[in-house]
Amino acid sequence: MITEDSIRETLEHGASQAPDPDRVLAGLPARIRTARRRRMATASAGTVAALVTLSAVVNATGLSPLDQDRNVATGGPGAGNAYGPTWLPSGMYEVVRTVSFTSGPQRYERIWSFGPMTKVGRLRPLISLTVAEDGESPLDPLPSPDGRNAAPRTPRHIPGIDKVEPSGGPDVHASDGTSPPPGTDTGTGTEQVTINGHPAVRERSSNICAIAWRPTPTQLLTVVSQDMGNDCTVASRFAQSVAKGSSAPVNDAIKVNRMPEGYRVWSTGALRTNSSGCVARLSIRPADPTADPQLPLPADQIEYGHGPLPEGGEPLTVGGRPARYYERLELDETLFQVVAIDLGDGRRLLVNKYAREPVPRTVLVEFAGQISVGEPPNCNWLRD
Amino acid sequence: MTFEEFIIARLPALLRFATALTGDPHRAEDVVQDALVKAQRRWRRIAGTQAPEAYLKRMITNEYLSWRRRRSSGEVPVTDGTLAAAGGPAADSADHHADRHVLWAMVRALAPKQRAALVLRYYEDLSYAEISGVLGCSEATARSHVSHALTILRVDVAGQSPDAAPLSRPAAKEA
Repeated sequence: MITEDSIRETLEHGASQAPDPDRVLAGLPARIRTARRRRMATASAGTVAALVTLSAVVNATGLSPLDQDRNVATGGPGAGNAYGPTWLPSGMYEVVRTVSFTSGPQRYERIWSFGPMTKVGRLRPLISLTVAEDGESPLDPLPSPDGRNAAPRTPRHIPGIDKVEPSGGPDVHASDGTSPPPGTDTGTGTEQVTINGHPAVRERSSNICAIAWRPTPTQLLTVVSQDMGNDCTVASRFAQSVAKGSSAPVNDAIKVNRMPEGYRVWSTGALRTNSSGCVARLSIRPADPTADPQLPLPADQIEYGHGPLPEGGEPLTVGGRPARYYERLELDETLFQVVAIDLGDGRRLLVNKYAREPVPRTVLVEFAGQISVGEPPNCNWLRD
Repeated sequence: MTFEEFIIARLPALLRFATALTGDPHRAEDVVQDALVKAQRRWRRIAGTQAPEAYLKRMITNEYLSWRRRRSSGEVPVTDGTLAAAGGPAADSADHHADRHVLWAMVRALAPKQRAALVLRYYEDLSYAEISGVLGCSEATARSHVSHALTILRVDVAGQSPDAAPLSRPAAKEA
């Protein structure tokens, strides 16, 4: 039996395996010296990079033009998963649809909410459905959108919970006839349940309910509801309604023509947003999370949609198009770098890089020049 | 308190925390040393905070969650097979799977952010508000990470023993 006390005892047991403090202390001075040398070397390299950037403004026009090779980006829906709900709370509609890739397993993620998503902010009511195709390798490393590994076997990450916020709709629902009747147990805990004849695990914790089951030996389905009332009524009804039907296609309007060795597309998809209506998004991660690629990751995420270039930044030209370069140092010392490109017709491309160890601007700019796009996403296909 | 005085007094506690967090004494050593290197550079500012140790633990958590560290660390997630092996031949016993060694293996197999949230909640006894401050996320997301971690542990246990009992919840520090 797993209790909170047993978890505490387990963590204490793990902590008791801590290394010898004297040994760690003895190695610290050498570590400090090494770090100091590295900082000095980085500072020198930064000066060189700044000089190179000046020429990049001129030379970047020679990069491969954007938006010319329509064959490399389909500009429309790609592969899709066949699972979806046949019931939704009133007023809820799909706002995010992505597919994640690894060397084998794929993970489809869909989110429903009462309004479009913005990039940051508080959480609002949502329901997510994750279909993990984990095949025979149940715990293959799968980087999550925040760059950390996750396994597709279980609900390691709810897309959008960290970075996006549904807004523009009502706050909390489950008032469409699905509210628990008086006396309903609204406590927390885990229980074994059955979803469409399959054994399932249902976990309640505060405003979150997660239900996981395997419709086939190689597939794990997870439904997570957040802020949908204080019990599992909505999540359970949603989960019971999940069935195989017509495929739900995933947007793949962005194409990286020349991916640096050691990296791969990790996820692609689209989401509804307040500011620009609909954004296609593609994320890049190391092909092998346990390896150390020779080259630095040029960019983490690419976004394609409508909207003007953000204010500020330094003017650039990428693929013959007007662009700007931005950077911002976060409190945790992460440098956020962005190349924004005006694609014309109100379309824009954002190439984002989050890193403790940033890449030179030239690397980000050159990478941005290797991207092609198809038709801009409109997210209409999110409404099935 | 000087940096040296702080280290001598609190290094053992920092290492224990890092080991619970990383699930690996060697990585704990790495993570703590890296955090201390950074802390040493700005110690005057850190020492001026109300809780330098809490600040250091936040730095250690961030260091651990750093993607680059994970990428270069060669960490290989624990597989189901490993978990089953850890369970040994008596793998059909719910009590056996609740053994702390098996549970420790399951905790180590969690995704880093979920593991961090779990450790901050049950090892450090932080409130969800405090966890959200350490992880740099909303309180709801912190709850979500802990909840998912518990769900995963339950799924893993349930996968090996359908008779596993539900998680009981004795008093925990509430947000």
